[in-house]
Amino acid sequence: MNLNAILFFIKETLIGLKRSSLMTIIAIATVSITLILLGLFMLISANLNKVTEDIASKLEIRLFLKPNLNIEDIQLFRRKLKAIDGIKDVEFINNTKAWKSFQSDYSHLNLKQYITDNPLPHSLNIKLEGAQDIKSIILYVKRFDTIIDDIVYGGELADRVEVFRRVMAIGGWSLIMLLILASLFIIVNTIRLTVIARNEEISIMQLVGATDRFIKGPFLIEGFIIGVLGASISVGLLYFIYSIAIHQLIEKMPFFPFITDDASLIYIYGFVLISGATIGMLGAYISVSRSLKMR
Amino acid sequence: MISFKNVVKEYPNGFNALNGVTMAIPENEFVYLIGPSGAGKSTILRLIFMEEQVTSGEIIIDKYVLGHLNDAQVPFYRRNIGMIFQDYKLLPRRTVYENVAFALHVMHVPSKKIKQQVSYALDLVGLSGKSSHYPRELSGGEQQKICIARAIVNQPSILLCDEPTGNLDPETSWEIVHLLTKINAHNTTVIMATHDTEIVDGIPKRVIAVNKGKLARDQVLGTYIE
Ligand SMILES: Nc1ncnc2c1ncn2[C@@H]1O[C@H](COP(=O)(O)OP(=O)(O)OP(=O)(O)O)[C@@H](O)[C@H]1O
Ligand SMILES: [Mg+2]
Repeated sequence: MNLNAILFFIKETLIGLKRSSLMTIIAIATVSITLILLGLFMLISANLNKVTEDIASKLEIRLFLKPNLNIEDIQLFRRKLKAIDGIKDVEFINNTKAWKSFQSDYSHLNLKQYITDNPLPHSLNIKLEGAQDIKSIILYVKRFDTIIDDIVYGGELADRVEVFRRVMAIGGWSLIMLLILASLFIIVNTIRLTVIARNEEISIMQLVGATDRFIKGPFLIEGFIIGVLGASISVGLLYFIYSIAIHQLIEKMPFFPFITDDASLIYIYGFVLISGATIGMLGAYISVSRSLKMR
Repeated sequence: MISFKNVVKEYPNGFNALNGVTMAIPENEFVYLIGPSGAGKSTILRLIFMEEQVTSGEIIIDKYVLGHLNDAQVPFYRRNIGMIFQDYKLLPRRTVYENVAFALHVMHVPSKKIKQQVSYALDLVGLSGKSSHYPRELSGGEQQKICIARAIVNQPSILLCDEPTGNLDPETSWEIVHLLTKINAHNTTVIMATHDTEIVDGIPKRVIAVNKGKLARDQVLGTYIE
């Protein structure tokens, strides 16, 4: 296809868009809403994924101990645990040390200002040989309820986040599929209006020997423009919403590894843009194929 | 070369518009297609232009056996054939120039060549002065000339004309027919369906008469009435 034909297409397309401007705006808005949801789900899923991975990757069990235990008893318990198969190491974490390191890790929170007494108990950090032993070891240590106040291990949290993520993914993707279908439906009808408005031109084009591809071209571009405009609006809004939301989240939950790197975000926003373009062109293709057959 | 072999055309409603038409029209011929209303003249032109398909029989146009062409080939086949219509079929929102250039755009002709060919075609029909006008600003005769310019702008080998003078006054009708004979002289086969007695008798050419879907008469340098 030469430059001439491309210019011709673009001119035709603009005429088409202008002629059904209200429908076009509605179509663009629908695509935007659909893709904002798509983008949000992708962002939330990606973050949950990362959090789950992060938690699960730590093959550790943290035992928070009852207060008022003496250090000797704790050390005895520690050596007992260390002898168990599947446990690589058990580290005693003195609460004073833990509090200091926590404060220095999150120095930007100015913890000292609000909390004067050390809120952390002593704890033991169990390092495992592999993930497969985790269940039996948890069962075993649960028996020492006179010593242990609370057991925290990544696996359990990761499992719970994972279940949540799956439920959300199923619900989210079904909703998104529905919205994509709705967008397609609206684009098909928007383009159909243009096809009908240009019926006379199309039949004359056919009479002077235009190929179907040539006739469909401007409509596909019209769909592409609707899709890309809708997607651009949603990427703009997503960027705005996510920057604000992630800023707040990082402040509230600084220990979670939220996604902030450009590569992941560009991937998601790029996916949203490509989805927009695809939905637009697919809608146009369906519309124009059906209308041209009816002639 | 246009050749019809036992062509039957039955429309979807069951009406038989053509009942076995056999004829041959060599290259560069000028043919009047005459006959009463409903005889099947437009049907013959529509079959040649592939707006309709034969029910049985065979039509061969130059190297094309029409029944063997698939949908994707039709546009390319049509580029060898110009068609002018009684109702002109011009695009109202485009200028005269754009209406003619449109036919070339559709064939991906480069801009520079489009300019050349369009001005040649508009010159030929004598309307280069009105190239930036819109169809509604032109008389019926002028619109018909634009339609002719569009039909011949890519130099087709066959020009089909369905009552090209049907809506025009006698003087303009003569202009149009003179134009068609001029185009015919430039190596284009012209088939003109008409009811115009004066023209058929005034510029004698081959006459093919149809009646009720059958060939009634085929006469070299014929007249309107036998
Ligand atoms: N699409 C169609 N469906 C059904 N019947 C049709 C169709 N087109 C034409 N006919 C019928 O076929 C017959 C021939 O029509 P055609 O248009 O070829 O006649 P014609 O010779 O061109 O007449 P006129 O001089 O009035 O233009 C007519 O009786 C007409 O009613
Ligand atoms: Mg007719």
